Amino acid sequence: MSRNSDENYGALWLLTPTVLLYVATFFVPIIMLGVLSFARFEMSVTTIGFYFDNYIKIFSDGITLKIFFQTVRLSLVITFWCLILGYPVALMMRSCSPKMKMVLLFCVVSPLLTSIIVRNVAWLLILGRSGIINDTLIQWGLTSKPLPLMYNEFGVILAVVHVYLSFMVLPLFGALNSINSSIEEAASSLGAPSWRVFLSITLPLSLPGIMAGCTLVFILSMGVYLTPVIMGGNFVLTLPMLITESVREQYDWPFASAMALMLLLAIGFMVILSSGVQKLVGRR
Amino acid sequence: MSSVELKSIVKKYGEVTAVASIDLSVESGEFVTLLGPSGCGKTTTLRMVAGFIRPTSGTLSIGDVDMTGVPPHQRTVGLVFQNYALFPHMTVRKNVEFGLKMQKVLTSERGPRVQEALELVQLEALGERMPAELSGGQQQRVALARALVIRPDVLLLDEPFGALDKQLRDHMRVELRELQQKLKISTLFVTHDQDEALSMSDRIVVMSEGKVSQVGKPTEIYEKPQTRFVADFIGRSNILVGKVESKGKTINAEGLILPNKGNVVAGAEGISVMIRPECVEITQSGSKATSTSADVKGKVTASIYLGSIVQYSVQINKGPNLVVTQNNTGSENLKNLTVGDDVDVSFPDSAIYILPG
Ligand SMILES: Nc1ncnc2c1ncn2[C@@H]1O[C@H](COP(=O)(O)OP(=O)(O)OP(=O)(O)O)[C@@H](O)[C@H]1O
Ligand SMILES: [Mg+2]
Repeated sequence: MSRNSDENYGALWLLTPTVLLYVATFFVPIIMLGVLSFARFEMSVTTIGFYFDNYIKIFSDGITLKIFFQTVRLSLVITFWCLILGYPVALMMRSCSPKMKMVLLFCVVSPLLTSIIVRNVAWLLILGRSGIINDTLIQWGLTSKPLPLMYNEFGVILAVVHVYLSFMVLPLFGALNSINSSIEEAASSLGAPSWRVFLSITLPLSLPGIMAGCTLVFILSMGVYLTPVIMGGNFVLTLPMLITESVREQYDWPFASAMALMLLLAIGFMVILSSGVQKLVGRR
Repeated sequence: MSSVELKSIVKKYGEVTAVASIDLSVESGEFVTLLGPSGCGKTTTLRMVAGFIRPTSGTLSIGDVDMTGVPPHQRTVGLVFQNYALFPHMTVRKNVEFGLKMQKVLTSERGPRVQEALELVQLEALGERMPAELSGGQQQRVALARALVIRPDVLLLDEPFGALDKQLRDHMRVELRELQQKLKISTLFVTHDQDEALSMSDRIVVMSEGKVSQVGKPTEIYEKPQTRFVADFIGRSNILVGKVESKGKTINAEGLILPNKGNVVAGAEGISVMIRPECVEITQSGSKATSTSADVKGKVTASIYLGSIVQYSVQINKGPNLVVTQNNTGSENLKNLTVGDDVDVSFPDSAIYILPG
């Protein structure tokens, strides 16, 4: 036993690069954010200190808080659609042949393999005012004016769901795959029709996958920047956009830091909430 | 009335034939075991009875009702898996109650019935535990209670004790058989363990390569195997191939002269003769002369100590090699036998069994 742990400690130095990387890219910036968020920004001059200006501004300027909640709502909607669309895919991946599984997996992951620009240009060609869909609809006389499929929430949600679906499907598939199918068969032999087996057995047993997928997609959605910029065309504002703007246009790092911390807190809150839910259900 | 009846059931997976035309019945209250080597189609057969696999052809009835195409949840069968397959997110009580809920049994009635089922398997104290908090044996008992509580037409078990250690397995075997007899529940049991099959069953169905090799009581299966396969598969056995000698009185089995007990016609060849190793007696040459039908001499070529028995390999002079087992009674005679010893070999006429066909 002790020999074993000795060996483990011996291998610890292998972690050094990773630890350094984390310290450099995670902890240091967070500490800097924390310090900056309490600084004062006046006449383009940043004064380090302990001021609540930025936080007061968040809650009182009438727009930041609104956009924050809009970002949260958008992320929840995206997470919801990823779950609704991803669950059947994960279910199918579990039950189909290994070959079909690879095909499905590739389809789900394919957006991640495409560059963000290519992806969004593709959406433009499909959803734009003279994109494939609108062209076809107009040609068939189904509509006279192009439908607003882009530069609105719909476009943003669609494009983000498309990219992040894989982050939902993979944990879901993992969770579903770890359910021994004889458990479901036992339920069915005890008289449960397939919908009942799904609700009473499959769904609750896949809960860890659901929570993992939802948390992951939510976190990613809270931080997504480029896709809403392209797909929303300034009609859909999110907190990351505000942060970028604050830094790039106003050079107001302290306010940007405060907003970034707020984003981080919201994410932390969600993570705690989801693990809480899981514990609660697990105990039942 | 038969609880389960399979008529010419066939299951093919493309080119692979998992089950090739099986006829089988479980009478009301009977304990029938499907016994056979790995891959012979036992699980496939059982899963067809449960409804998870649809037979390629043939008919299946449960309680004299045709059930061939009926989905599993509309059959009243109790299923017990080797891996228990308990619902990990439900307490023991909820696990057992599940089937009653599905049958829409009134809430007021469910409580007592769950309690009764738990008492049946002596787990009434553990109702509030989660499956993960139980030992393997306890989990399997919960699985049994869960299957029994719905009062199934037939209880189906697929190697239910396969994951338990030997002692517990022997214990559960007795317990299950007692329970089955008490409840008089029709049972179809799958195993590849012949001890399990021989000790528990009313009838054994020996399967080989998707076909039924022999159906019979445990004693019939062991003592009067109908095929070479069954003789080989059940227990240890010496199977000699012989030919009836000209006068028809004796059989020359690989050099060993045996009485023609089956009255096989003179000149017949390729007769399979079975002699169970435990029926053969060996003694150190020249010790005491026991005189039985076939008095022959041989030499011990191998000896394997198995605890309660010792298994010898004896090369008969100008004859075949026989496997002989002796009970380990600790007698001096037994202890002195070692490889290379000359021995007198004897067995009663009753030990000779001529396989039909
Ligand atoms: N889904 C399937 N596709 C193709 N062949 C299958 C399938 N299921 C089973 N088989 C084949 O059918 C045969 C019988 O399988 P089965 O599982 O019934 O064996 P078994 O008697 O239960 O064996 P074991 O004692 O190892 O459990 C095997 O040769 C197996 O390879
Ligand atoms: Mg099997």
